[in-house]
Amino acid sequence: MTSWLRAHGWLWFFLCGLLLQLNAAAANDAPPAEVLIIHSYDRDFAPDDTVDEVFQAELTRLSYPRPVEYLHVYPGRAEFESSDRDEAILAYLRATCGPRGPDLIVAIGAAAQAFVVRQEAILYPNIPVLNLAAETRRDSTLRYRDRTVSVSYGIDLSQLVENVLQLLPDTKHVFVAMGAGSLERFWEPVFREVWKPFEPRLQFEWMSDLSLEQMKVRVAALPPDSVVLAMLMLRDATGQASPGERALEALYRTANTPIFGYSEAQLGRGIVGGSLLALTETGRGGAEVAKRLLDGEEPGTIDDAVYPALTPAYDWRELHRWGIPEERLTPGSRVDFRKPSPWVKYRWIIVGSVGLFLLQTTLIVGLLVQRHHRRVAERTAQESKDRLALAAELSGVGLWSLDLRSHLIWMSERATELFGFLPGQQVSIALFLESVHAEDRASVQSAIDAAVESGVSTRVEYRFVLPDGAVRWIVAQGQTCPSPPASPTLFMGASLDISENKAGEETLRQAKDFSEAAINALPGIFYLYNSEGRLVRWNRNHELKTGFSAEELNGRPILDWFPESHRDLVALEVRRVHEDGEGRIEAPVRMKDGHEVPYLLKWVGLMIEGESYILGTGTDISDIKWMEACRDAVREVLRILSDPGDIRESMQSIVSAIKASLGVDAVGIRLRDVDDYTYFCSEGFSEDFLTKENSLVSRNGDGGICRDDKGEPILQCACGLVLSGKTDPANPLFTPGGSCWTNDAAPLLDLPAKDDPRTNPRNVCIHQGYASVALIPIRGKGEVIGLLQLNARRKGYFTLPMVEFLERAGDNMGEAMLRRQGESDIAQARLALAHLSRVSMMSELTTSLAHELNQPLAAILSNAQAGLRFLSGKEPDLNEVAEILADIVSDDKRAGEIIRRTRYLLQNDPPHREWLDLSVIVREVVSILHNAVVIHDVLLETDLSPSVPHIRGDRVQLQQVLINLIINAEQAMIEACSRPATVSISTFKDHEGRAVVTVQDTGPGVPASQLEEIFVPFYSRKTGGMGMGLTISRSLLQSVGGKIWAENAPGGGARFSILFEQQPA
Amino acid sequence: MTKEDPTVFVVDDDASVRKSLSRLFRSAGVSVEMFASADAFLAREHFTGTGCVILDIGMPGLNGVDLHKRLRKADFSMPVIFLTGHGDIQTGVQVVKEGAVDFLTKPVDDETLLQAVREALAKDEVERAKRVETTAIRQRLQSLTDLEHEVLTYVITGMLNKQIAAALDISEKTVKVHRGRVTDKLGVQSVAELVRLAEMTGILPAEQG
Repeated sequence: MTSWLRAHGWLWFFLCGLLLQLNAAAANDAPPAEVLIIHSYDRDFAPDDTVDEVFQAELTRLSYPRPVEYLHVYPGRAEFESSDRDEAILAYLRATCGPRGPDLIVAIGAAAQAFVVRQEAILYPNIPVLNLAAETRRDSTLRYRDRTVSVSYGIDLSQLVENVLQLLPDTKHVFVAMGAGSLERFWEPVFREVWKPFEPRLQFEWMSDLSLEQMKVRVAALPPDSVVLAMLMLRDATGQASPGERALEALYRTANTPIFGYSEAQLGRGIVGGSLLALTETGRGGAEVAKRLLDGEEPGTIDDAVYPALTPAYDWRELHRWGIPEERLTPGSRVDFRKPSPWVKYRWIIVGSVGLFLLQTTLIVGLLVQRHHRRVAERTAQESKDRLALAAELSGVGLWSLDLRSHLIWMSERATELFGFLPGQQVSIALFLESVHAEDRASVQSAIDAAVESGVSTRVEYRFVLPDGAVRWIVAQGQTCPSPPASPTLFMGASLDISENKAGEETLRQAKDFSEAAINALPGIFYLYNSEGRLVRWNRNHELKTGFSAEELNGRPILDWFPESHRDLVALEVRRVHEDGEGRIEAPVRMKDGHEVPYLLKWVGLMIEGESYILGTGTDISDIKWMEACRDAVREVLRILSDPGDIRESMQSIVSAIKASLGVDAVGIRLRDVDDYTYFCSEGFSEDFLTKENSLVSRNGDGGICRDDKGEPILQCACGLVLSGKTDPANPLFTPGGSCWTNDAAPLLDLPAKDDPRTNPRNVCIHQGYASVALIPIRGKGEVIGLLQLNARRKGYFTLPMVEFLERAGDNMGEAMLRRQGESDIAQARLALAHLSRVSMMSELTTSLAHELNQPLAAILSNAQAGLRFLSGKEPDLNEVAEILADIVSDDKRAGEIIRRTRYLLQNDPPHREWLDLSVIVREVVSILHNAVVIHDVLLETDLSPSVPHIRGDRVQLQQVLINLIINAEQAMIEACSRPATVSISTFKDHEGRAVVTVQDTGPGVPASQLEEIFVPFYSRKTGGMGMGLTISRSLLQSVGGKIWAENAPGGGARFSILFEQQPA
Repeated sequence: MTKEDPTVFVVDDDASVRKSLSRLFRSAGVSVEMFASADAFLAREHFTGTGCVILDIGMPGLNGVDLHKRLRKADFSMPVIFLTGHGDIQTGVQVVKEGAVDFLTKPVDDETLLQAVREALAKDEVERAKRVETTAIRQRLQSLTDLEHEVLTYVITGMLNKQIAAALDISEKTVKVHRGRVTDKLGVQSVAELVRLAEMTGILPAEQG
């Protein structure tokens, strides 16, 4: 729990710093002097606080009219003396003071001074430093630089004990009340050493190993001739901190012997007095030096000052209480509190109460930074300079006196007012108690009884109900009079309204509750692991989410949360946190019931008192993981849809992708099939399921489809509702986006028919054991074209955000499907056109083809008949016949080849990409066209480079493009009766290494204005042409990264060039 | 077979076709010569024997139709048979009009082809005989004087000597003498024979009236 508080302190450190910064009103007319005060201890170390208080008030006064702004840094405790936190403090100082820095640095206490010395190179090198209020023993251990002036105090430790013996010569036992914090540990050996000479006359008992509570008990029953010497008590042996002089106050309340102390701050708080630490003088002296430094005096020219212990000062009340005659005091000693007025006597109660909120806050906040404003500082100055000012503060104190015999209470005016009695009203104790809040009445009564019985001062807090019903919180301190052993006649005291303080306490409590509540309400889990990797602190959510009880969580090793597969990773990350200070990991976390939930864990490393901790949060990211999976699935779906190929194969891939990504048990896609919506594809459903569920339409007895009044088929079950858009968003079964989903389908079975929105529910999903079902519409162009069905056997599979995400996915899929269908249509059309064009082209070649085919046929026939003739001769030459047969075979093959080639060109197969040699393609084309062009006396010339880069494309399409160009050229020349009529085809590699083929003719060329126009559909130069040849050619080439253009050759004639912008094979 | 045996000349750019035709003709005992192009054929030395030509139409360079035209212009008298892979009627009609003896399409039956070749060779035989006769007649015609030639043109119109004398403004007796010389020189007996000779040699009758 302590660790937790410390860890908390760090968290709140920044928060509080921020709040205070926000609250700081920096408005001052004259540029203020900025003084940075670095404290060694928490804002609860009374000596330093006193010095600081006086220092500020005095410096503010001295500097007037120039305002002074004080910036305080409380690093907290003496850890400051080590350099662990320097980095953080420096960073904070730089951020707060800005690059220029303050005008003066005041280091209060040795630890702060050590810090300044340690960081002198970094910490504002040119700013003067005032080392204030270190005891000379500690002060002297430091090496100052010439810009530092030291104002310290000294104390004569022997004198502390001598003083006891001087006042109470019979003293035999000295109980040293001493804490066990780092400061105490520094001093204890010093004290022991110095006081050793007093033994054996005096027996010293060191209480530094006791807790404050134990000390309180101890001092209540000390032997006679004992005194308590209250020394440093910042933190007791259990680590419990006691702010201010709280520990002294606590001891004072129970001690049965006089208490002596060491510091001016203790005077008036229960110590008898003596030669005390001169805090006020030190503060004032420091302020004077600070003023000179602020005025620009060189630190080197100012002498260091040491304020020795005060002239002995005593508390008259304590002297009086313990019957110490003033004659024993050293002549010239000062005696304060000589006329103890009740309000002065109880000043500490009031001050303590007022400070409660602040003190508790500072207790929690390890390092507190605060700006005081001039106004506040001036008021503080007033307080400490003139203690009479306190009277004004104390005007709220009501005085009273209970006559123990008459049971009547006398009240001061303020008291009468405080309790709401009428002036002059006679108030009996009974009447008074009647108005005390019923819950507090007994404690008030017993406090009075105890006070009367013991004669010891008693303090009680209670609620008092005013006549108008309002409730006031009252603190009262009272004591019987006269003091024991005389029989008391009066019980007198003071009361103060502390309702506001109580409200403050309440606020603090609420703040604590709030932070607890806030942490408990964090959406994720929250935890603190110690250096051994064991859980030491966690929030409520941690228990709720993981299912482990507090007992099970306590000390649970961090690795136990993770499955075996992730432990190495986690261990690595843990190491990283210890090294780098932070880390994060996504890993499955194992819950009490054994199932694993993906978590994002963020860690920060903390060093607390030399021990490292891991503080962290954990967020359940199963939703995010699911969403990511959804997104991946949709991306995969879109990718699949963008790939060409069979739509059915694509859809099957989509279903598989969704099932794999989302981890559901079954996925199906229904698409419109005329009137029905059957499963287009699915994965994970049983045969039986698909048989039962395939058709969705309702049929009448004759098997006809039932239709609604609009003629739409009536679709069954939940799928039908989604597909026909009959989803009522008011019903939690449906979403506004038109989906139907459930995480527990079974209860639908018990739904009365009138409450079931489904038409003819079939419940096949339920009967087949699917608990979670999501039916997502697939929309294209706003129409529902199908649905995506996800079934999981586990309950609670889906969340609304998931379903909504899937809805967007469904829309994307629908659009993509339609687009894909559209693209497919266009591609089909293009291919169909290309084919049509080829057919048309081939019809132009028919004559030539027939001729070409007739050649081998003719040869075959003639050969065969010649053979027959030879054989019918008297002496057939069989060699001749054999030759004939061989030639027949050859010619037959040739004829077959021609037919194959022709059919190849005419076939309507899908394009087939392969690596092709352009020169080979040209040769093939020339062989096809040879006869055709020869008929028209056109010469085909080729100039084919053997080193043309291979290109990737479809053989038939490329042949088609070239045939088209050659026929165009031939016909252009025939129409123009060009002589000579030559078509030249060249292939080559251009200077950029690309494959090029050109087709050039000796015809009339293309009018310059039409060089581009000829590629436009239905442009034709040929009579009877389709006007699509070049358009289709360009389209076919584009699909393989080729481009085609026309130009007129320098020597006349048209030249068509095709360039393939492809990567070489 | 001697050099001047009846021979078939085949011009076809397709080697297999040439080879198969060559075999076919050889199997039928017909002499054959093959040419892969029109130019090769034209380059052949003059052939004086009986023969016929088989032409393909689609050929690189000079095609069959054009070669036929060239041959006709050069008074090449051998019968020409077209043998082509694409026998469209238009081309067939055209080439026959221009004097081809036959128009056959591939693939062709051996009998059809051989029959056509035989007919062509027979035709050429006849033509060749005719050509010999005509040449003789021409030589005889050249021996006629101008007046005798003129008289001849009137005789073949069937005019009487008296009418011829009037037309030529010469005496009837002179007509009679010249007429006698013409018949003697040309070795004919009758007017009918004279008319046939004139027709063979392309002598046109004088215009009457």
